[in-house]
Amino acid sequence: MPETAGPVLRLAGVSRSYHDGSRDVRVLDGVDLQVVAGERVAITGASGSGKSTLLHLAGGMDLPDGGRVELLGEAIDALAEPHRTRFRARNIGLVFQDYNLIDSLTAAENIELVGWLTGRRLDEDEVRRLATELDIAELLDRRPDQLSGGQQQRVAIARALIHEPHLVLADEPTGSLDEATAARVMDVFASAVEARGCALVLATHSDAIAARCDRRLALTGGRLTVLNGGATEGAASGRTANPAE
Amino acid sequence: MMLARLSRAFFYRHPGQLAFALVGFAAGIAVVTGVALLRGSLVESLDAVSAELVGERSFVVRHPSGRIPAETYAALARTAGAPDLVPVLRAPVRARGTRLELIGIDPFTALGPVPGAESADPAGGWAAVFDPQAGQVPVAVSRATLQLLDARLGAQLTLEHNGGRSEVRIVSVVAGAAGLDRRLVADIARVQDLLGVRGWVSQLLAPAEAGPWLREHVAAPLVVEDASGRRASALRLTAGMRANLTAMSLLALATGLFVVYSVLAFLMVQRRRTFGMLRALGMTHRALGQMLVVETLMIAAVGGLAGLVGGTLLADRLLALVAAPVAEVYGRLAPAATVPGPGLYIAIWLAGLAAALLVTVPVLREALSIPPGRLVRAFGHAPIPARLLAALAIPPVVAGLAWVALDARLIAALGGLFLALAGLIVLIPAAGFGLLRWVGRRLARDAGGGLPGRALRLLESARGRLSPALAALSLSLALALGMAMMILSFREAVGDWVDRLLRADVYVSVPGRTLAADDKRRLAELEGVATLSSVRRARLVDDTRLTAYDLPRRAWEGFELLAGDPDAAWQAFDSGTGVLVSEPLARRRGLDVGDRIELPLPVGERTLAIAGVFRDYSSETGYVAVADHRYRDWFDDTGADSVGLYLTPGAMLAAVEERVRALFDEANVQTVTPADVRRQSLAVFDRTFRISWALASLVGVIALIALASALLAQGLERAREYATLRALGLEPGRLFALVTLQSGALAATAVAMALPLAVLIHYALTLLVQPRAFGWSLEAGLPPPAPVLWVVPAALAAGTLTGLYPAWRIVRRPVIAHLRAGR
Repeated sequence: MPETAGPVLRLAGVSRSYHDGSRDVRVLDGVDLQVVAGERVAITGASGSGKSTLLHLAGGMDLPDGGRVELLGEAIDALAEPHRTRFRARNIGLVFQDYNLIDSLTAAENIELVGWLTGRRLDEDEVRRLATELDIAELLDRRPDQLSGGQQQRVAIARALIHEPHLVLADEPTGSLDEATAARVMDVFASAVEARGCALVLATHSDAIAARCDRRLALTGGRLTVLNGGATEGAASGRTANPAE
Repeated sequence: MMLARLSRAFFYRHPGQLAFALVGFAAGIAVVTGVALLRGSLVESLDAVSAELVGERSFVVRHPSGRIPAETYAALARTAGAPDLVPVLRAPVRARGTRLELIGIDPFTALGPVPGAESADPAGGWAAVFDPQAGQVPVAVSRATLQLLDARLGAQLTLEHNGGRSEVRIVSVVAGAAGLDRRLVADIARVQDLLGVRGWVSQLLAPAEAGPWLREHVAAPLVVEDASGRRASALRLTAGMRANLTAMSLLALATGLFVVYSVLAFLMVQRRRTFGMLRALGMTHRALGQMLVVETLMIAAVGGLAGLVGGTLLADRLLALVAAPVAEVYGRLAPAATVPGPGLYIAIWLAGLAAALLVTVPVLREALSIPPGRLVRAFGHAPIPARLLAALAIPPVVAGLAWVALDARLIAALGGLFLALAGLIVLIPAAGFGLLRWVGRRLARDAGGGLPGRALRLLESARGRLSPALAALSLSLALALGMAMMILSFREAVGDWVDRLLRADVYVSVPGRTLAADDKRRLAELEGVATLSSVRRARLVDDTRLTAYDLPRRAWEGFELLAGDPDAAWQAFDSGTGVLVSEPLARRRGLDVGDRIELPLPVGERTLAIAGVFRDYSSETGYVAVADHRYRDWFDDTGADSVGLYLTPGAMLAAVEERVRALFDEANVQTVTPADVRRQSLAVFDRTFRISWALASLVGVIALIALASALLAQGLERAREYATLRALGLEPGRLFALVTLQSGALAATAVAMALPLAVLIHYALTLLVQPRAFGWSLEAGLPPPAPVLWVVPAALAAGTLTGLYPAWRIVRRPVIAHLRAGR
């Protein structure tokens, strides 16, 4: 289980703009956020509000125009690209809305891919244990096109957790699933994250999914506002009880 | 309208793919056009002087010796009702490093109109050529020849002829007139003076209406040749070369079509999601098909036009490559420039459109199979079942083998080879990706799944996309390797043949003049000379070439008999009761030992037994070898073209050469050793095959375009996959290495697939195509390994480099851009 002294993720005054034709669109405007180990944070907001941009910046896949992004106390925006990539590989697990599994690889190979990328030799038992936990143990030899949407998403979750990252970033992890499947996927996702004690930041449209997190933050006009669960700076004591639970 | 907008929007987003499709298709069409123009020129213009001077349907009167005595001409011209006969004197010359022919004609005979002649002389046009007051010999040239010589109207040229030099001046330029290409036309009297020739002319030209009179009054040994005869002769002469050129150009087109297929398939896969949605919204199969067909036709139409322009430019480059071999191997002059015609252009353009439509069929089938509402973009990569593969591959291979076995013509050898390759190429993607999978697994097992193993594993998902490119690259590599193997083993065979054939220590000749019997006697008496041999060549009225040999017994070993008993053959040859025929002549006429050959000789027709068939690589037409004394019985000729000297033991070669030069007291006497002849022969050989190398290289370049296009398509198509890998932690450097490794692995796979095909092509060319095209057989030894050492590293490097741009393109974009693009 990952252990950290300070916040796992800290965004301080982060801004990001994009060029849209002749004008600049300010997607994030001085966002502050702290997430501690074991905490689950939901970011909600309308389409195009900047949820994905926030996650990309948090994962070091994009760089802010202003402000600072720290992961485990390290300013990842200040790292050179290869270092940032290695840092991300070791410490962050990513779950994409469209699963983004590699078509040519089996489910097992997709999960093991992270081991190769992080240079960590994964134990086959470890993969099988996680797969059993996510109820995909019987599907490990199948390729993505032989899996349903829910099964693919569970493979993607396994891939995000297998190397025990400190932070999991999930962009609309249940966005393309029906309600029942989404609830089931979220159950296993939440329990797997909880079991590993890592921090989770997920972007979602779904109130039901967001309600299962410790904190719900809304992104509007480029800024984060608290819907419940304390300040955007995060609970100093760690987890905050979610009234919805 | 909406369909056009959809297409346009897509191509705007992917200009690189559009460019690859256009370039690949244009390159294929360019090679076909270039070769077609060249082929046409070789047939139409090889000997079109008579057509140019006295009209299309003219007649040519020739003498077997190449010389019509002046009195024979005079007698004919004085015969009642004689048509206007144009006496012509022809001689090979060189100017500004270019091989030309000087043609002397009589201005007072009925020359046809020569339109478009312009002149620097006030006397004007064609007439300036015959100005008796002109200081330097005035000559007329075609416009293309003027450009070839990089000269201007009024320029002075120094001609090299018979070892001498003379100045002439270009006073007239004739527009068009391809028949006069590489030729200088002058007044026959001035040409006689210049060459020091008296008492004979090369040929007589007669207009079309002279046919009946000529047939009635021209008797043997003179022969009358009409336009169709000349054309048939040119066709026969160049059949092998033209067939090989056509085969290469079709291969280039096929490779270009691979590029088009690859791009069309990519365009389809990229829009799978869009097509699924459009189908769901109500787009009919017909409308979808219409959209893809129109796109294909647009690419083919524009690419085809660019190809026609490129091909026209290429044609003259190719012509420059064949000019030397045409002169050296066929003894004819190639035209100075190709002459394009609208009919040919339209035919090639339309054929290109049809071929492009053909490659659209499989793409169309796949597009039409997309169910409405299908929004998954993944490209199906289920391998084709083995049974279907066999069904696709075996019939063309069997048909090809059957064609070769049952039909002895050249077209069967080339067509059979094409069919066999077409069948085998179907198996390449399955075999190649099978190999990649096997290597990937081995690497994963042995190296714990490092970058190379992962790279190969990830290639699997692009199998459908990369299969055409892999097949195209394998085929072009196989062609280059197979051809190089054939050329090298042939080159070695020619070297060995020259070594074996030339037994004398040194050969003596005087360019432009015959060695008389007295010359031979004096050479035999030279100090250090033990014995001599001599050679005399003649051409019979039916175009059969005859070579008379006066050989000592030991020189006999130079003949490598392919059929016939050596002792019996020597007896028959030496006694004059039989003749030998060279292999090309035997193949061309279906002759064998024991058969009899009819020879139209000056003393009348003679039928002689064939005592042996010998190996000869000196000409495609072949010749009959007879004993010298037999030749003297038939021809009123005591001369020799060259004499071989066999030195006494201990005699110094340099000293003997010095004595030969002193003996002739002529600057242009030539003494060449067998080593010199070997070097010159191999130089001619190398020049002959330059065009094959050039065309093979063009095919290779088109195949690399196919590979680059497929890799770029793969990069675009797999943007999401690469983005995922980057997001999950693959650094830019490793992603670059991964993509480059993949392109290198593809090139290596293409090489692995190409090697067995190359050996097949080598043997097919050596054992089937060469004998049928040129009449030359080669021994079926192991293929030389040298081409593998050149081509394989070059292919691996080029293949890997081809992947660098897509790799760089992928890596330089930030992860976020890929993630967005992949959506």
